[in-house]
Formats: sequence, structure tokens, C-alpha cells
Amino acid sequence: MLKVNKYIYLIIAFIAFLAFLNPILSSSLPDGLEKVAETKNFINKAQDSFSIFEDYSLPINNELLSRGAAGLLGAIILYLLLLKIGKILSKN
Amino acid sequence: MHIPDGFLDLKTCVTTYLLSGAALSYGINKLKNNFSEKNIPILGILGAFIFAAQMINIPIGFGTSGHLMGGVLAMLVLGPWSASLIITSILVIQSVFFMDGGILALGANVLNMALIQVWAGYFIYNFLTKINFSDKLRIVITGLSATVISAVFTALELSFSNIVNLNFILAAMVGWHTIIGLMEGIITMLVLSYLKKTVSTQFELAYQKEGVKDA
Repeated sequence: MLKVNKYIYLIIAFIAFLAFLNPILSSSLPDGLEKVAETKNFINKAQDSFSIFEDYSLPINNELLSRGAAGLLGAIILYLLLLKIGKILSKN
Repeated sequence: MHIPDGFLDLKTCVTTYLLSGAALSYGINKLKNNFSEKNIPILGILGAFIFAAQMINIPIGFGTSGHLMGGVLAMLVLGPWSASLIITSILVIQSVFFMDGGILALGANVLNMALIQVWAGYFIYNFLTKINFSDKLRIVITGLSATVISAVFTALELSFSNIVNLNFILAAMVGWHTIIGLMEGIITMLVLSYLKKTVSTQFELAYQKEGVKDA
């Protein structure tokens, strides 16, 4: 394992900052593909697919908190998932 | 650039699932023989960072925004197969938990962002190491061109699905993703400069070796 580097705490704090404050930091403008789909008139073909939550929001009765918590939850799930995958890979 | 469900037809969804699945299973086998235990915490932290960064859409002007894709960043830190694995994991979680990118379109999103962007970046970066100029510029050019190539593949899949003619969207996709790609390149360069200053004494970043190795 890596020796704990003091910068790692800063990096983790920065990730938590981005993930939790995403509803404030993120622009709601369409991204490149959405913009092309709008201008070329196929955006209406988009369909909702199955997912556990609706977009980046957890069932909490406060929009900022709901989206912030979704960001944090996603980042934590990814960290744990990749740690698990890394452990499986390094066993072989 | 996450494709939602409804944009791609069944044959494109199936084809891209098969291509991505085959490429990833080859890559995972390759990683099994080469993956070092000391990379595990970096794999997790990088995944969490790219997921969080992908949530932040940055305005690029003209009523449009873009966010970091992160494949080139992950490739330059851990190598291409680890990067493909990280971006695939992010795309799966985004799709299954948060409806960002369709479930049927997941194979195409993995192909474009976890494979094409990463591997285009890998070949471009290694090619550019043969030319003698600043590493920072090399990283920006790699991020930019890999993002544009990934956008071209997205346009090809849309036209392959007969949703829209390729000639009709190619210029627009390339145009927007040139600006988004420039942002990708600059953010990638800034993050790598930070990591080089802070963690590279304990952890050798993949791009600090003579060109990035493939596993």
C-alpha cells in the first residue's frame, strides 16, 4: 500500500467538495451532444432508461441536498467498487 | 457526451456491447498479470475524482457546456487498461444509479469514452513523445484530439443507427468537441502537474516513464 501522503487528504477533500457542491458548481446548459441533438432536431428521441435514482438526485426533500448527496454517494460507490476490483486483479 | 437510450437502434446497441465487452475482457486478462497492489488506492481515488469532475459542466460559450471525460487523465496516471476499467466503472454507476447515459446505450458509451478516448489518447501521447516539445503541450494536444476522435465515433454510431445523417452532424460534433476537448486537455494537464508535484515521489505516474506502457 502507498505510504499515506499528506496531499491525499487535500485531494479527498477536493473530491468531496466537487461531488457535494455539484448542484451549485455545474452549469445546466446542454453539453456538446445534447446541443447537436437540439440543433439537428433529434433530442426528442431521447428516452428515460431504467435507473435506481432519477438523475443525480436522492429522495430528499431539498434539491441542493438531494443532488449533493447523490454526488457524494456516487463518488463513494466508485471508490469502493474500484478498490474491490483492484484487490481482485492484484490477487491473480 | 453520454448517449441516452432512444438515440441508437438495436443493431448499434448490440454491436457496441459486443465490441466493448470483448475489448474489456481482453484488457482485464492483461491487467491480471500486471496489476500492482500499490495501484489499488490510486484506482479508487482516481475513479471518485473523475466521477465528481464529470458532474461539473463548465460553460464553453454559445449556450453549451462540457465536462471532463477523464479517460486521458486516467491513462496518463495508471496506463490505458486501468483507465478503461475506471471509466467503464464510472459509466456503469452513472447509468444504473443516476440515469446519465442509457442502459441500452451503455456499450456505445463505454466504447466511446472508456475505450476510444483512452486508446486514442494512448497512441497520440506516445507518438508525441517522439517529438521534442513541452510535456504540458503534449498533454493538452492529447486530451483535445482524443476527445474529438471520441466525438467522431459517437457521430458514426448515431448515423449507423439511421437517426441522423453523418454529413449533417459530423461538423457540429467535431466543432463543439474541439472546444470541449481543449478544456479536457487543459484540465488533464493541470491535474497531472499537481500530481507530479505532490504524489510522484511515492507513486510513479504512467506518463513519467518513457512513453506510457500498455498495461
